[in-house]
Amino acid sequence: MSWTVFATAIISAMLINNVILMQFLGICPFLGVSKKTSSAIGMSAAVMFVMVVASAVTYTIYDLILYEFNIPYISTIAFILVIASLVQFVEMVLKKYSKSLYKSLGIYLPLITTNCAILGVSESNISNIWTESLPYGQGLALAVFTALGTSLGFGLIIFAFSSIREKLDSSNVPDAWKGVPISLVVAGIMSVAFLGLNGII
Amino acid sequence: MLIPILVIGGLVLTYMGLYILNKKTPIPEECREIVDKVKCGGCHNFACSLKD
Repeated sequence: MSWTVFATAIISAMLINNVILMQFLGICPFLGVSKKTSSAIGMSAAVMFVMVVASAVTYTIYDLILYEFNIPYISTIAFILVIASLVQFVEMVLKKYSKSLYKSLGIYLPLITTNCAILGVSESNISNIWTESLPYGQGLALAVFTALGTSLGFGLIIFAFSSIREKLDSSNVPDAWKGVPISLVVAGIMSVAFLGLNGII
Repeated sequence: MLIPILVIGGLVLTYMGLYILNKKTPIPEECREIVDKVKCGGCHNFACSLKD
């Protein structure tokens, strides 16, 4: 498998099948943690970290346990538990060993437990990448690169959206449009703009 | 029938263990201020270790 495949996976997940604007996953942090650019950057970093690790772990569990024992129907419940456990573990490790990282990411980590984008990527890795004949290593690498691209796409959008919202706060917006309504209009326009990237690959 | 129960049970136990360990791990002193600032009832995430 060449690097072109991995590069294509990253660009496709980041720009073409963007997790927020095209798949409508992770809308909760997209609207909730995008009021300030600093919060958006912290949330993006935490999502990137958990999404990549969760994709690797869930792919491994599916390939080595769920498929082997012929129980793929419990994948959704298993993945939810894996993600929730992973978030607790990462938070604990950061508290203990990396205080500076905990300071910047720690407050966003519990929110990731309920971020459906993480579960969505884990599920799409299984439905779109995993096949019986694909060697475990290649599939795992592809899943990790897809997760990386997806999280970069998440970060790009949430950062751009937070920058626009900060600008909107100081703009002269009609009273009826202030706050969430104008933000949703902006999100809709961004989604339409990203449709234009469909043909790049 | 036994294997799915064992797998889910194992994952649930893993989660419970990690949740308890995370709760018992003290928040670093230098992060107290930032954690106190975000303590809220706004999000209903029961797993959030920052909530009272």
